[in-house]
Amino acid sequence: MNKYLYITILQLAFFTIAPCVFAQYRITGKVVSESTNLPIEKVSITTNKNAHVSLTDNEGKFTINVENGETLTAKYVGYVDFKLEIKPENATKTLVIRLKSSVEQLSEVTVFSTGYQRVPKERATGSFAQIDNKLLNRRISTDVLSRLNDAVPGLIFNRESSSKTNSISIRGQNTINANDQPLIVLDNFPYDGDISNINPNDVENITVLKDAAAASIWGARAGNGVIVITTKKGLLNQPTQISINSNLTVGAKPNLFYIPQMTSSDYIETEQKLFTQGYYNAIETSVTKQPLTPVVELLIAKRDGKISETDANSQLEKLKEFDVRNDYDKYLQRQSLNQQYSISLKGGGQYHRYFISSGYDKNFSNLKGNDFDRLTLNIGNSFSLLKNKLDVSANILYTNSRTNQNNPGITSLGLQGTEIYPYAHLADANGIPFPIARNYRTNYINELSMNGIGLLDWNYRPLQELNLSNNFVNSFDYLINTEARYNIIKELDVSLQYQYGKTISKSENLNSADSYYSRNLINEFTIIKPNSPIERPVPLGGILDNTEQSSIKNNIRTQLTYNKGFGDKHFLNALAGAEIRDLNIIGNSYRFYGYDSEHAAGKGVDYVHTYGNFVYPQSNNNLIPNRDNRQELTDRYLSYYSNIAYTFDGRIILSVSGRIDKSNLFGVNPNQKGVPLWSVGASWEISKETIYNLTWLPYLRIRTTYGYSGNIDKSLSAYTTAMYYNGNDIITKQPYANIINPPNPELRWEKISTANFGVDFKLFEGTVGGSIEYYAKNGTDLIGETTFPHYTGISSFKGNNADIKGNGIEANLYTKNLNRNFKWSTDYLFTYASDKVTDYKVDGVVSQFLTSLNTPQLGKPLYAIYSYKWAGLDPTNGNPLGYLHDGSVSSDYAKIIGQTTASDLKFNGRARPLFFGAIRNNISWNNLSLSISINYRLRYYFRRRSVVYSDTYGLGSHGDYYLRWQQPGDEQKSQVPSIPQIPNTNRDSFYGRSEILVDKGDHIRLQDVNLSYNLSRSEMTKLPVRNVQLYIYANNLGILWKATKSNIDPDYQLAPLPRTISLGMKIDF
Amino acid sequence: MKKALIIIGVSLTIFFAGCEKDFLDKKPNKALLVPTTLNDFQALLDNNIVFNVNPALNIIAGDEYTVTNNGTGLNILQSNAYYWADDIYQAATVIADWDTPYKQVFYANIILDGLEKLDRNIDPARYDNIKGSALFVRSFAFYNLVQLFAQPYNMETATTIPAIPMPLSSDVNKRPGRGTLEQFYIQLASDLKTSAELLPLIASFKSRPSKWACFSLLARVYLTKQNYRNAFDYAEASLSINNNLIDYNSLDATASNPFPATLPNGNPEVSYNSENLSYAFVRSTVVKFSDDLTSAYEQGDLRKALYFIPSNGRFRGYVGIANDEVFLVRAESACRLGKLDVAGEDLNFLLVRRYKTGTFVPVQGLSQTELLNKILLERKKELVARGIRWTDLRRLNQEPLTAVTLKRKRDQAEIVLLPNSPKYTFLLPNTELGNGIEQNPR
Repeated sequence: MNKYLYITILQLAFFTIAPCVFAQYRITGKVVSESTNLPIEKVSITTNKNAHVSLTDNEGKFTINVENGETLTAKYVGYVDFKLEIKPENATKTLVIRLKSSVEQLSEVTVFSTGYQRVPKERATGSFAQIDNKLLNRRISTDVLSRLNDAVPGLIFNRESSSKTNSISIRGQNTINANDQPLIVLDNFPYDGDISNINPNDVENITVLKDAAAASIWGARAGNGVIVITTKKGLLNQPTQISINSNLTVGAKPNLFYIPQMTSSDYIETEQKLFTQGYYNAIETSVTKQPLTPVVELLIAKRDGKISETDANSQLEKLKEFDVRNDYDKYLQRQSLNQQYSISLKGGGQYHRYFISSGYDKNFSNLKGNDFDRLTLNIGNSFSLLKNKLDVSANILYTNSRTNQNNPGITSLGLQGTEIYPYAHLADANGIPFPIARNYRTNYINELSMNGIGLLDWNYRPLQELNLSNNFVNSFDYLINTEARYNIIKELDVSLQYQYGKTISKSENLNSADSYYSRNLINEFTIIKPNSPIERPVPLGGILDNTEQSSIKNNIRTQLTYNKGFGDKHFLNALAGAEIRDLNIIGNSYRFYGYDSEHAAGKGVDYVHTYGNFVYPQSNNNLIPNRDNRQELTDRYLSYYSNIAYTFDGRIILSVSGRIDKSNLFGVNPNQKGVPLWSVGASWEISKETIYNLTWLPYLRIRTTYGYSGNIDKSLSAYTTAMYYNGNDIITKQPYANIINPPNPELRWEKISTANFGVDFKLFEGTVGGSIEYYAKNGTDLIGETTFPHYTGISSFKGNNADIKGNGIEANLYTKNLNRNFKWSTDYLFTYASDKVTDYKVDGVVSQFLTSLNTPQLGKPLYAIYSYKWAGLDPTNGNPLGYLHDGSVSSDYAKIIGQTTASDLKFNGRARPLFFGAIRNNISWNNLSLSISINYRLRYYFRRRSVVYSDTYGLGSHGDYYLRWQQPGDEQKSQVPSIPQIPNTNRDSFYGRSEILVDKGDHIRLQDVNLSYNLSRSEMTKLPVRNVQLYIYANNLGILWKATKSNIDPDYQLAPLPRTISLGMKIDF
Repeated sequence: MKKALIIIGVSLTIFFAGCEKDFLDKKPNKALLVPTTLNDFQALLDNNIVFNVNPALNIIAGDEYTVTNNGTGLNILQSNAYYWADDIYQAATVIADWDTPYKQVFYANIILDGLEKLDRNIDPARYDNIKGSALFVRSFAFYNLVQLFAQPYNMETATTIPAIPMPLSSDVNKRPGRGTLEQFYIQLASDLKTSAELLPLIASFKSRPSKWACFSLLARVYLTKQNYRNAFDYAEASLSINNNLIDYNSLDATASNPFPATLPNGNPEVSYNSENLSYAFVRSTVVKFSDDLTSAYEQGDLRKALYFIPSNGRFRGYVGIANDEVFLVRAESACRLGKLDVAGEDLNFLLVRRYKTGTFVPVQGLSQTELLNKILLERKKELVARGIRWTDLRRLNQEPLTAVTLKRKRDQAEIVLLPNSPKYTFLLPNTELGNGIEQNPR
């Protein structure tokens, strides 16, 4: 390992008079730590010929006699040896020796951590990628994971569905039904907790393991790649260093006008039209007193003569001018504000090193009432005992976070929890909350309250609700790692690691007694009979829902590590170990009715008997909602692993790894519970060969690997499994069960093979360099579905019967464009990732291809967009036209939908980018640095939203309404269908899923800019601290180019991510 | 220290290997179970999301409903079924009318296979009840399927006409083939008779089978086979257990639910509850009951006001297996067997409870044909929306005297369903073909 250590000299003074060749000098100097600039005491200074010895004093100063040509060595534990040949020019001035920490030295050479061992980049045959501390801190975020964005070729954040947050794919997706997310390893063990619990300020670096050779050490859980997060550690023989980092991020309010919508005025006119056609009659007369909008209520009042025509019309005109989105913006949204503070302390003596940090984050979301705060504490201690033969370390990580979620957002404030009508007023001019019709008609509710029969106020005031509920999730996460490593003989280490983790997550939803939820439920169950007291089966008071989940994990690992050189040229690194893992999750949820938060007291209710609804007593089958539930899950793994690397002459490396994983798959034959996975790899540093003489290509290395990783779907079982429903049948009160899985005795693990070829190179004295990789993957035995004739009782069967193949190219290059006082370098990330379903036993259903993006079809990518073929608009009436199975143009939508087969559908293309990457330009001048990241995603498609007429002439629909066909000739400029004469839902679904609404997603985005100003004591001696950095960071800056003509951001179709700007400061003492 | 660590390391590795089996046998989710006990089987049988449901496309395709406005807005499958399209499923692969009964069969087979591994002596009464119930629900599902997906039963052709796949074990890899109608009904009758021996006279809930329901079903089965002697006997056996009929005069037609709820034990007429598959068709604004049916109720007949919701004409009567059907089976069988007095008595016994008190004129002195026609008309008027009409059409069309031609109108064009048309047999869904399963003729 010491081979990699090298020396740096930062400051040398030289003598003006050349001394004679064998002159003897008396040299004085000072030794400081390179990273801290602080003096180091008791450093041994030796000379090689005369073996003079000297020690530095408490100011780091020394004096020693040397001869010309002699080599002076400065040595200190934990630091890299410093050697200097004494020449006349450096012999007479005061020498300043800056010692490099050996640990830092390692990381500078880039050491990949796999969670089992640390592999220097030069010795790695597989595909690794590392995000170092500098790149990691380029972005500002509360979480760690988002910092991987645009930092690793092959790694993409999937954005095809707005419901996915932080969904990551590494080298495409290799599974259909099993877990599709990479394994996250925190230091040495898999991390099962909420990833947002990790404070990014505690993270030293992140390594991503991409191919089989890199990941196979994680075996059956590595099928989706592995992300290894390494936290910061203390260093031996280092004075205490304190660092403070603090930043503030402000985000813009989300743009509510992003998706164009039908205006209030047209909405009201459409309602009037529907009203005259009797559309609302059924609702008006409904026994369940279904709610109606204020406009329809007005029209009813006008019809019934309860309000004059002029009054009604003037009220309608007033409503037309209003847009509820302005109210949302005013009352429910705000600029987001994230604060982050962290402090860390690290250092070490000769036998002890430590790292202590604490972080606090407080985020105010852009929805009022929603915020998040997190406190993290990290304490790590290591001791070297028995003459450094025994290393014992312990580390405790504690996180406490609280998420308040009192603002449900703006999508569900309307009638019966749907989207609200656009002319709603949330508050009057003074900000006093207005009621909005919710579950029952306003008139009905008002009548009830006027009657004074004892019901609670039944009005729903969305603005008031913000303060009436108290919904939060409180999460405590403890992680305790201990490790003992013993050096048995020089070459052999044995280590024992144990991790205990416990996460308790408590969520409390308190609907206070005044909240609409409580009032509504209490009222619905209220029984009022003449001459008898009012009965309330749901008692007065609040309703408190509690959910508690605790997960406990235990990991034990024993490992032997063997490192030995044989002669000069042969070197062997080997490790073998076993580990056992147990994760136990217990979840409980329960509810208190009639809850009094002041005295923490609830009241009992009758869950068994059924009640009538107050509004509609005929429906007499209502049970008081019972939220009691319990869940117990256990995840167990037992694994044996080994990894051997042989290095020849530092040029050629051969590696082999193997792992057996066994898991508690339910009811599977023991021999199928486990799966052996392996990999082999080789690399050759061609530029080290003696005959190599390409001076323009000073570094060239090729490597290749092949191997297997795995995946698992634990929901399946080899036996017939059944599950009891929670609670009994409503009417018979009997318990009942259903069958979950038919038996599958053949169940086994998914296997993914990967072949990887890579080239690492440096050109032109290192001004250009990087690596390029090609991989081919083959996922076999994937859990897929096979169709069964339905008379067997099942329609499909999940088994190991699907295959997906994928291949891709990844490049990570850099160029140093200018390297003087003004420095300019560029990083290029490029990824091509393709995949194809090569075996699938089920012919997909047409409707599934159109609605679900990952419906597998043979020969197509897993995530794909399909659509109905489009034949334009009918010039006579603006009806959309499609094709029947025989190819004829038709507007019989029932027939089109009925006849279209999977092969008749148009395959538009991938739903996930085929090409993606980023270009990062870094410029620095003196103390200023600027980094700009531009990313791109190419060759994929998305489905645009458009108008849906339904049976309401497009009431409240998408703003494409205004682009619709209205008269012959319009079909030349628009492809939006006319309002249908007769409502036809098939027409809507045909249009909505037709190719005309599929757009290219290709785009280039200016992601972010980071500008920082750095001051260090080495440059400015008067600085009271060692280092100060001020930074500004702007994120989500905008799209520079996109293929679609529509106004939509292809990756954020519902709402674009608001721009954010951060300001921060980092101080090292 | 050094030794200790080596010992710990080595022993842990050995320990891992040693505890492997117990460690890995832990269930990943405690709520999962492999059904093995009587409790488990009863819980599966009590799943009335799966059971107590029967096909309904036959109701749509029959002559009880009329569609107006060319069926605008109707779902394709339901519209196709109504207009007797050649291929009513088109691209659809999930046909609930086929899948749901077969799911019931699958559950029943899992229970029957599981019972084989249990000792009956642990709790003989419960064991028998569960076994009888499983046989009943399986037979009920088979019977319902065969009314839609196999050609009508006919004594002459039954040994050659294919029935439907009849899986009798839970092994999903078995491919039993269609067999013949004769074989089918032999198995069905034998299973039901075994079931009747095992079941209690009356069940605790009307969602569970009983001897009463089982005999009623046997009566229905034999009527379908035109075996009127057996139909008569089983109807009699059923009524001897329970012959309750509601006097409709006791009901309030202005109430929103005039009939007592069947479940758990409300409606005294119903022996076994089974709901029709829920199709939007029956709730559509373009669908109403045919004038032919609604005009058949005479003055004083309480059924019209009770069965149909006054405001929208939708059905609100009861479904499943009920005594009114059994009375009508006994009446028809008796009539056909020449016992005209028994037939007349049964008919009058039923109808006097269906007419407003004082308005019903008892049937008497009719010829055999007149009486039969009267009974058949009452079947149509009484057993509305129970799926029985379809089976009756298939049976009665075989005799020219009782055959009817059904007509639909769409865009002025008339669509006709002739008696004994192959369209009285639904096509098998495409997913089912192969492995010796052939499509029905068109």
